Amino acid sequence: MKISRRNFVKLSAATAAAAAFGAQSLSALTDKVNLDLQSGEEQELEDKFSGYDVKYTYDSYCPSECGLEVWTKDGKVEKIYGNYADPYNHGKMCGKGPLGAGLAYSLGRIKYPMMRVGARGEGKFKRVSWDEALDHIATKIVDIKKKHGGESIIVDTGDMTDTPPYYRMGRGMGAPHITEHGSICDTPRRFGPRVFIDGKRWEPDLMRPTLVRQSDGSLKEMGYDDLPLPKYIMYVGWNPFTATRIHYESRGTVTAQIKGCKVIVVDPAMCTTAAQATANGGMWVPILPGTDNHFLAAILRHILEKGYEDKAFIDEYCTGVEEFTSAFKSYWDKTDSSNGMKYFTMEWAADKTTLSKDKIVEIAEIIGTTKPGAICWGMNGVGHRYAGYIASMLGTAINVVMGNFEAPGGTIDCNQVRISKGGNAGGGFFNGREVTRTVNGKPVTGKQKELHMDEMSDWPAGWYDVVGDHPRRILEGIEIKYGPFKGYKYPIKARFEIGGNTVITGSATWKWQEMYAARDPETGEYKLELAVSIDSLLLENALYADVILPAAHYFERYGIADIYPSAPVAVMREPVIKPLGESKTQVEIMNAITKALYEHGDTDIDPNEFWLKYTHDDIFWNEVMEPTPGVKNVGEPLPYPNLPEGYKLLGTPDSLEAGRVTIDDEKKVIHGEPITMDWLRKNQGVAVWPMAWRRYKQAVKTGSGKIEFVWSKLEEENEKIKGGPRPYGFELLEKYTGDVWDEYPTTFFWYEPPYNPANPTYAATTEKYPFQVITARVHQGMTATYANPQQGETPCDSTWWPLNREFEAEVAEWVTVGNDGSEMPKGEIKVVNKRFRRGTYCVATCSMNPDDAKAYGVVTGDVVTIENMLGKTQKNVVLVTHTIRPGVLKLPFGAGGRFSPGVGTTYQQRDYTANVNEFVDPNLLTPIFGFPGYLDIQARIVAVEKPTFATI
Amino acid sequence: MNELLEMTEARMHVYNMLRNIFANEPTMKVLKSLSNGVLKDLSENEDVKEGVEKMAEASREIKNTRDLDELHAEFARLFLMGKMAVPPYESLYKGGKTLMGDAAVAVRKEYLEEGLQVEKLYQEPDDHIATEFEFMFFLCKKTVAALKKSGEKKAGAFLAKQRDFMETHLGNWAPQFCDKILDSTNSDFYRGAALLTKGFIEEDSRFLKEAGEK
Repeated sequence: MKISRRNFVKLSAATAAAAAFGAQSLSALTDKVNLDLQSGEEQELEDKFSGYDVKYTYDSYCPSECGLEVWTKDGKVEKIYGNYADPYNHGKMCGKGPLGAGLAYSLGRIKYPMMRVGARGEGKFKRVSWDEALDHIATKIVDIKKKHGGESIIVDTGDMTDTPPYYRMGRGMGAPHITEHGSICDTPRRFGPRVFIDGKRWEPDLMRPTLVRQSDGSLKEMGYDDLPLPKYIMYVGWNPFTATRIHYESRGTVTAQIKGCKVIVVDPAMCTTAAQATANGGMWVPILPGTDNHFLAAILRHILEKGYEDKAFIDEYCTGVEEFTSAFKSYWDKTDSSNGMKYFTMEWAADKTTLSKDKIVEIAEIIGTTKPGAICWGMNGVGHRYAGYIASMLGTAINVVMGNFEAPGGTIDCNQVRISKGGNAGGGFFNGREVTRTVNGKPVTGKQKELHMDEMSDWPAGWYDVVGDHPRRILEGIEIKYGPFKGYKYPIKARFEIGGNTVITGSATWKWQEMYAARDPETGEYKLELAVSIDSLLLENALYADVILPAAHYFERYGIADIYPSAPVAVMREPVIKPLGESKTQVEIMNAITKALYEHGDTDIDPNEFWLKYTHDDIFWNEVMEPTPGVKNVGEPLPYPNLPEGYKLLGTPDSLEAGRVTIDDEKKVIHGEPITMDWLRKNQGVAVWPMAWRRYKQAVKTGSGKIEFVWSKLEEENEKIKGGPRPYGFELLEKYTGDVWDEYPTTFFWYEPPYNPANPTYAATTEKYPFQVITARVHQGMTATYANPQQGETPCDSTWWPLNREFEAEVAEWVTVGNDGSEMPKGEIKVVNKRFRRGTYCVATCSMNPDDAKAYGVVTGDVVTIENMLGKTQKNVVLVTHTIRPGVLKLPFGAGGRFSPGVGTTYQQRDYTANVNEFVDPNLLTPIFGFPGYLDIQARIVAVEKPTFATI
Repeated sequence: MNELLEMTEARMHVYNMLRNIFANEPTMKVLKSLSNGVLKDLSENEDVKEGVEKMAEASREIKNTRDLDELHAEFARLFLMGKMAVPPYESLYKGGKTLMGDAAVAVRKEYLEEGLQVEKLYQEPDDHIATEFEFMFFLCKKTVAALKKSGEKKAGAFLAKQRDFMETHLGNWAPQFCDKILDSTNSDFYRGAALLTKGFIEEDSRFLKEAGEK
């Protein structure tokens, strides 16, 4: 053997080195092979490695949560298909579904617990063990609870339907306020459904196939040819083709159009849905942003004046209509001083909306004379506006008075038909726990929930919690204003955030940053003493966390989806691969945190309610489904004619069908065989119960059991605030609109939108800031780019356009040459490194009308600096296009100005794309729900940059 | 014979050290040893020498837990967090752009042939540089045992396996990995570790090649 030793390692030094580093045994590798393989057994090895394993789960790349069929090989996701058994997406997927593996195996994955080393926001972390992370969290929480009680903790669970373990964890540790993304997404949109029927989301009856009871007693899956579809759909600020989570709505709308449905899209921008409508006999209605209220009010007035309403339906199924219409009509003779016209007339609406009177009359006639049909109002146009309640109220009222609610081909409240889930598993009962606090020197005993930071304090009707106000509440502290603890004060000291990114999405980004950076003047410590982020990717929120815990990706965890179908459906999530690194499932994290608290002396934690009870995730999820489906056996056709009408249904579809049930006549409940994770595993991951229309006959959840035009939900809140201070939201209403409320409105009400050209109070602002900034969601742009840059190759609407500067990124491409240079005749998709030349990759785009562009000397590709009414500035690259009306700048939210390196190419474009949330006025919170007025933004252009060779 | 045994034993120790450097953040104890010059005479290779020196110097700068935290944060930035500056996975240097790429499955098969698998199978990508170093450490250990027990013949097979693994895997990406570290950090500790690794891999590739040409 000839070996040159000159440069080689010396044994003595190497031995010493090894000694210094300790362990001599294997650590990453083990000889305990659990593949049943022995060295050399090649055939067995081959067999094991060539077979696919197929599992059913659901997506969470966006909140649509489509049913998926996932093929794995070698423990790795290889193929992803839509699950046909799930009627929600019926085997179909958008571009994100098949790219889920890119997210699971993203280099951006958080794989280990991390702890902050630098200042908050600096993004400097070190890896720690789970034990160290849990010890830090538990020590802090126990200390905080000792000083301030469990109410000083917030748990924000983000935007997934698989978070009941975090609800249980938070409530179990004594935190009454467990929040979720719903709080910062479209609560004004839900207002109408919530107060009229205790519902939430009204969507056109478009989900097909759907399971329907036939006249011969059989059950049949019925498609688009079998059932009525809407004859008109009016989408107000709603763009189901590219922006929404209601998956079936796009394919349903196309099919309805083919069958003659007229689609009307009311939107300042010609979004994809509007373009599609105009090409198919429908229309685009480019309204002035924020005047949907005026538009819908004129339509309702027209309907009532013409007597188009369905009087028989109203008489039988509604209450309070007279009070509502009389409040509505009380405006009819009033003159609006801003334009000298009578309220809610067509002329008045034309003036406010800038639409032609004829156009509004034409639409009002369609709605008043066509059945069935549906008005559906959206997230951005209505749901994210300060005055959005009013459009929601009017849209709901019009759908009801026209008799379209729950009519076949009409409009369905997806929340009313949605399955019940959670039950005891969510830990709601912990909120009934008795607690004692010293108020004004005296001990007072009450329930945990009576310490709620919103409902018992500044936001008595904050039914969805008020996440947008968290920064202020954390900075200023909480004072209880109603209930037994009235006068009690406490600070918020700890905040958990799971899978959310409120720094970017929860009102103004700068306000959240201010809150995280704020320090106690006495101690010098951060005011919010503990910020914990539980996530699988490093988003902006995590940069401000003290501890980051690695959450399992959606392919690695469990859950039950129940997302907005038009019939009861439950879809199972279960791991298709093992959690990467040291990530844990939701139940594991709940157990780990509560156990750590217990071991640190937290007496609120009972081991039997956590880790001793939920020894496997399945146990938890089976409990979640104890109240499932929880809908009543009502409607036409009756879902189960073999079972008593009007009774609540529990259990598997097959046991109910076969009558394998016990019936509790006293409680009016039918118990079938409990639905479990195992049952779902045997049934392609999905349970579907029959669809029924006209459920309002017995299933409206309001106090009166009828569709209420006088709202008992808000009457209850008025009882609560009686004798107490005026709710904080009323003060803000007065500040921003001049309207004075002494109590919550319980029937028709009106106020003008702030920061809006239609509101003369804002005339001076409008003059100085002539543009309105509106936003839009592009799913592929908002939530996807940090993991799968290839989605940037597909333009969308006018908000996601190839206006990039040159950069490099990894993208999936079809290749026919392997890594080793070998030819692959069939080709395959590979991720490759690619340099994108200028103008070839989509980025967050500001669309601008050509007339405005001309006035400012802007051409496509220029970067404008936009300043809002509060003096905050952001830059964005511009697309000059006729698809946006003049005076409006449209930007996608969440897709620009992203400053966490964890968000991939989006991060690379941060210098010329805007974070729209920087423009939000953090104090502009809606009077009832405290929802941020995300879209009430006035702005001006303060600079225009022309690209140069240096910048492109 | 004794020379081969001695060299393999030395290599084994180096691989053991390398797997530790890239798997875990250094402890104060390790830094103390390094600052005391424990690696001083490891090799005459210029890169190794420079690397050893840099690591020793950098170790001497770590005086308290705050300094140690900063070093650990740098480890996280380079190899762990979000978009890692220097992903320590072979797949990423072979045309793949995600975790658990083709190379992860390829090395899994190599490990299985030796009766090994990743401790956290399907959870930790098999192609982490520290795991590949550990595999070489294991093979060296086997070689040493074989040399001590049954002479050179069986040891030859283990050496051949090492050579294959070096040629097919470690040797054709570890140098790039080290270059990427040098491009990505100002931390002398990790710059030193990169140089040490690069120099050692160069030497060991040569050693294994020569050992095969006997």
